[in-house]
Amino acid sequence: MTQYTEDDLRAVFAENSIREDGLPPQVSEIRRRGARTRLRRRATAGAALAGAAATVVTLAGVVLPWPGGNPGEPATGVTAHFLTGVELPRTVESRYGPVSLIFGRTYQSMGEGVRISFRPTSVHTGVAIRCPDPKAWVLVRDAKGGWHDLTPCVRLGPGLQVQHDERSVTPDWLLAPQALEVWVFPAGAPIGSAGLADKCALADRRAGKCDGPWDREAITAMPERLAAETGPQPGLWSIGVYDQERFR
Amino acid sequence: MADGFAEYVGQRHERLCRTAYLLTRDWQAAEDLVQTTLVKAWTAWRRIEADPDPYVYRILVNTHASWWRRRWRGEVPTEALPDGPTGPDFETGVARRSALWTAVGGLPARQRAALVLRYYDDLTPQQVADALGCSVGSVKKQLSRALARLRVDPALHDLKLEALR
Repeated sequence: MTQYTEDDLRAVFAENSIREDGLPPQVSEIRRRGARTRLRRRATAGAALAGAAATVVTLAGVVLPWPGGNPGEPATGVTAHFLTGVELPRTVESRYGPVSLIFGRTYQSMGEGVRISFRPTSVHTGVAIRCPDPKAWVLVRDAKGGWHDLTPCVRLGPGLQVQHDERSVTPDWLLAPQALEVWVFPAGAPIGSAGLADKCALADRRAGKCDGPWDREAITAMPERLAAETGPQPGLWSIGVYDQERFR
Repeated sequence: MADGFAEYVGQRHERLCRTAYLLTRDWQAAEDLVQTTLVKAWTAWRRIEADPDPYVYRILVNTHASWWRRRWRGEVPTEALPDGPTGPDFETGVARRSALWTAVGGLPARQRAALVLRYYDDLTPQQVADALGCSVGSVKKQLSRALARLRVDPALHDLKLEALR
């Protein structure tokens, strides 16, 4: 390198890395792929723990025949039968150690939203959803609008779907009851594929539709519109909130 | 739960694409590499958002290395020395840098990564070590070996001889 200096290398790299115009970053696509990766990891970790989770808590009774009962109300009262696919274990392993069930409820209706309230006991509060129909969809939203997660049920693992940590909780996390909104949409709900909005030929942006199906970002922002289209339908699902038993 | 991620991507995407291009020498592959890197970074964002660059560079280099390992069989550096001018024109900076660019392309992936991070991204030896997952001493050795290989590269050697005539 007697003839070439470090400045030559810098110049070579600078000259050769120039381009006219590149694609803009696809942040929403990155987030979607990241969410899928995260779920796959959780499913893998959860599968390893599935054998250890022998004790389950049945939070609800038998399925009430549709349209019997009130579909929006949780199924409670009858406790003689197990409900395959919606049982919530008493404890779950998480990346911050074991967490225990502090809130659990089973619902019999899809296509409408529910709001649950709970009082966290640590900053490592986690949420588990169970829905036996692999083609149904779950949307979990922070009631304060801080985050959301739209996922097909087939991708839900046996562990937690969401778990907080010191940086994700709000300042009042341990001081007041917290709330989540959960929407479970039936298998036939017209939900578009990931990235659909980028390829949409007949977009109806204000409605959040693209060639018919609903754009996923529009669903997370306005789930009640999709719910109005699907209407309530019979379908069993459950939600559990898990937390560490002591304040940290 | 990923506050600041979009802002980071907006600020750093183009720069990361350029670094990725210097590693892959293919813009399509570079954009794929950056996209994959940012997906991995997103999944760990809460842990890294205070200072994401070291983590992102490390993912970028490791992901490229894993792709390179998968693809290396049958991959032969085929980028020919461009047909440049002869005689005194060899002394122009353009020709010299063109030959240097070709020579850098023939370096092993890890040495090329060390050069790119050090001389394009201006990372310190410690930061390069963090990105490559090795010691500072190992980085200095990689850089030294890379520069030594460039010194004896036939294309550059021929250029120097031509320039001396």
